[in-house]
Amino acid sequence: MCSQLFCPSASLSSYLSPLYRLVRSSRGSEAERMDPDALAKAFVEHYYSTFDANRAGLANLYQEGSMLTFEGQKIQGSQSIVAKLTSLPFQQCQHSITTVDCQPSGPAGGMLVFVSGNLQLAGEQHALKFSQMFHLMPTPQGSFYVFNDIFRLNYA
Amino acid sequence: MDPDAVAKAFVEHYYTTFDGNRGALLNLYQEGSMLTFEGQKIQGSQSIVSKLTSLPFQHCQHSITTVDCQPSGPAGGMLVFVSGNLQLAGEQHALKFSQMFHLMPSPQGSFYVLNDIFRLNYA
Repeated sequence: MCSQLFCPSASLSSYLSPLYRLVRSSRGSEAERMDPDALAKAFVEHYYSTFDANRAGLANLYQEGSMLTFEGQKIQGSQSIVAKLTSLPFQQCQHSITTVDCQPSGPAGGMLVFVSGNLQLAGEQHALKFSQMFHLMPTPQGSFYVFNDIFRLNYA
Repeated sequence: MDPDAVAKAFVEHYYTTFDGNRGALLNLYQEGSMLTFEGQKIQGSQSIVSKLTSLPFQHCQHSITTVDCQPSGPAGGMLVFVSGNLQLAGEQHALKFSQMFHLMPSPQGSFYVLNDIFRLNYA
């Protein structure tokens, strides 16, 4: 269920046109009918399951204009973003989420999701703590993609 | 101004105001602004400032460790992601926190906070 909500394929510019807004409001996708908190939780679950099991699968969640800032390093576009994430210096990891907060981000229908949790790397004794924020934007198909992504470790 | 410089200037102004005169934060929010403070959702500048001025401490000092920012889309907004320490007067150890702001341009050419999410980072 979750994966269908977050598999965009069309271009970014089309969602802003008035025709798109009319079509979108009459279609009423599953993502739109969901309560925002439930949507945020579903996204977070899908994102980190994909990250932990198949990092390259994250490519579907970003588009060409997407931005990632990873520990201060700025990366743009889904290809470069996924290249960065798949080249991180660990094979296996497990995210466990402690808090998820969300808010609508404005008239374009976006959603901000603010996450904190732990990241356990295989072979390490202690988990790392992290915070991450996502700005999800709607796609013409009625799902969401990640437009903004900022990740920071929380050092003790 | 360069976006990173705008973000840094905003962060400095926000926390200086918070630490010096919490009531003055009213200018930085509007009616549609949203704050989620440790999971509690509050809307509108008056309610937000009411919440912040009623927090159970008189004096505090924020010290900022990291500031990251990105443009948030066609409306000209900016996302600012902050981590740092919060020292409360009388407490031995500082609290660690993360906070994100979504700044939107105002007609006068400045910014206001549309979205604000605050979380303490427990050890």
